[in-house]
Amino acid sequence: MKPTAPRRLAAPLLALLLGACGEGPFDIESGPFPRHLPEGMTVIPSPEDNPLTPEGIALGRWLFHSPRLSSNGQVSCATCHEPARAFADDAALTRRGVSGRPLARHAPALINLAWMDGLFWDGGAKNLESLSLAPLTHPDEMGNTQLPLMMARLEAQPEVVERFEATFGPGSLTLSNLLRSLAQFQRTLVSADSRYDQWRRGEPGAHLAPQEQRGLALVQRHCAPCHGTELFTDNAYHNNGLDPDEAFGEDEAESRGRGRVTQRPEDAGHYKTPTLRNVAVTAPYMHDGRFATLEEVLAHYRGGMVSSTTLDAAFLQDGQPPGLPLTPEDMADVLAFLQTLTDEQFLTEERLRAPQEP
Amino acid sequence: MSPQWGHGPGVAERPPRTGDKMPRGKTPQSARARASAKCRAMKMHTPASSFPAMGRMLALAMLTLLALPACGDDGATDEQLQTVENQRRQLEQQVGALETEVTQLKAQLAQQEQESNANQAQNQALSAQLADIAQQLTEARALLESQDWEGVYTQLTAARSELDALRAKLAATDGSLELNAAFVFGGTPLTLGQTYTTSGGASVSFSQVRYWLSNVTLLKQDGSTAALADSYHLMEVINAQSVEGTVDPVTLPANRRESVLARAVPAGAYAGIRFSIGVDPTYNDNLSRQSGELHILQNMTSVSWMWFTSYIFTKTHGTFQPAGGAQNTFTWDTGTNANYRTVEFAFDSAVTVNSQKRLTVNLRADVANLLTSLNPATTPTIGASQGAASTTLSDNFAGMFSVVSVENPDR
Repeated sequence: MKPTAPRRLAAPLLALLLGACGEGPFDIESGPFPRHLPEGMTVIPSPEDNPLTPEGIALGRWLFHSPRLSSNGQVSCATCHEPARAFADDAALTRRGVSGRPLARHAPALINLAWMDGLFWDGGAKNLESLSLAPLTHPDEMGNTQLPLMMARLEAQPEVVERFEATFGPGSLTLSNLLRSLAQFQRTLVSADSRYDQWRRGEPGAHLAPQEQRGLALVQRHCAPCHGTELFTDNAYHNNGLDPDEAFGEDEAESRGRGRVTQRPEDAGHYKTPTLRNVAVTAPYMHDGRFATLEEVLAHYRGGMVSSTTLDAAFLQDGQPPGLPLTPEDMADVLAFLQTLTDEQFLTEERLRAPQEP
Repeated sequence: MSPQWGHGPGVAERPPRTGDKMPRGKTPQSARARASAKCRAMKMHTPASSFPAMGRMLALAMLTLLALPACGDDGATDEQLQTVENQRRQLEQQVGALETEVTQLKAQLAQQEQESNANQAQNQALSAQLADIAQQLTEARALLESQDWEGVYTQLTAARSELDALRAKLAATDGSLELNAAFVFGGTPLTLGQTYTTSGGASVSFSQVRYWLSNVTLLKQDGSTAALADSYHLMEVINAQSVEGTVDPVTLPANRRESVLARAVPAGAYAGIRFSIGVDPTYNDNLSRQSGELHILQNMTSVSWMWFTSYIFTKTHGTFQPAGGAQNTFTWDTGTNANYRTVEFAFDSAVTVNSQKRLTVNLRADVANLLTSLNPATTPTIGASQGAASTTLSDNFAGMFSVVSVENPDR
């Protein structure tokens, strides 16, 4: 399979977009970040009242990695969203929050969030500006059940006040600005420089082995449209046959998935499609982290699915249990391709990691 | 406005002139002295410096010439001088009346300045204009002292015309609106903790009632609207309460908020009012947006709702006991875009809003209506996931308002 019309990504455009990144953490020496957007994307979308600025991104980066945001001063966003794991957590249901109690769901990888409308596995948060309130306030995550107390704690730290004022001007240490700068940083978590991307763009020396290309074709045939597009997710909600109807629960039960948000019975057991980008480093898998390896995931799709009334129709097979018609060879090819979606640059990028404390 | 000074000179307001026919007779000393002084002043008079209008200048020059011979002797009679004195008094009264008006307007502008943050520049311009008028009146008084009747008259005419213009501006200047929505249960003011009997014979008491009243909009007769800026108001009747999830003692004080004072309401005639309960999607869908009183740190967000982007629109908490049944507490919260409600009321007759008029709209917010088609015994909890009950409760909130009176007096 040949790459379709290889094109250079609009690097100058990106330079324009984040051109001022010579200041702050985005050192001009190493070029603007991100260097590439997923094929077909020309800008990192952001809301009118929270445009990306180098200062806002820098403050968001510092906040993302700062344990000061948690009630016990020990947990940062990065605690459960580790840069080297594509901002995912290696525990199925993490206990790394302030209470030590396990969470109800698996901490998802944070990849290409700028193109995602609904956040969390059920899409309950409508935008990145509103998203951070949930982990900040959850008693088992960052534990700030009283936001006014969190703000008072931050206001008492001159360094925090200074950082906000250097970014947003005098008197700018507000919850709104905190949410906005975190959102800005989160929008820069762009992964589009994997071996697949380089091959797709026709970069010199980039290639996919025949098995990897067969795997790509299989993904496009069997895993799209859910894992379609250059984002490798439709950012929509589906039931992929993990549980029977009776497991979904009612009302606000986390197990109800998207149905918890929409309150529609037909959305019970639906969860957001995670991206396949960096999937090789974001184990464990599914909304509850039940599968430890990609082999387990593929085995589930091949023959481990559970029927339910809201199961996605794409998995229904004539005269067969639900699933995907994959041979063992297919599975090996798919696994080979999935490895090419690992973006080493994204996993090691200094500018996404904790800033050096002065 | 005093009609006699409205639009230029008329017979009654014509100033006294030295050339007027004067009856003969003895003159009181003071009036005589003033008459002499006036004659001296007129002898030295340079018309071009005082009277800008060419016609008036010429007329006055002729009068001056006519009058001059009479100044050579003290021939003015008492009657003549009495007439002059009367006319002087009349002018002085008119200056005084205008000064009073200026003082009133000054006080009004000062009050507006204090009340309003929105129209500082506008207010300052009006104040400057008023200061001009005050200066004209000061000059008029000086001219009155020097018996320059024509000068006084000119100043008065100018001041009056400027005051007219100022009043016209004030009539077109933004006013304010007081919207009251008194919490009641049936016919009586709502008191937290007091037990009320429902129409179905059950007992109910409330520990808190809160809701966002938002997007107050006045409706014009032609169908256009004037939406008030930053219109998000947290209406509530609450006891002192600790912020939920409290570890440290952070408490909200007891509060009873039933009134919205909207400033900078565009001047105009209005036929009705519209407002919403809850928060519109623009603000409800992005919790980093703040406007008016709308703020995520208000106790109208909840940890238990944080997984879902929405403000809590309404809170109704209390205890309920069906007739012959057991008492239970109920906790009813609504939110989400689907539960945003808008209500509209037409006024019996059109009202005027501007800086000269007050508009007060008095509503009743009857909490008894919240129990319509909802039973706290069988539905003790309403939250993000009780869709049907949320819909009913939101409808009940929209239906709890009724107009008591609309007041539109002058300031």
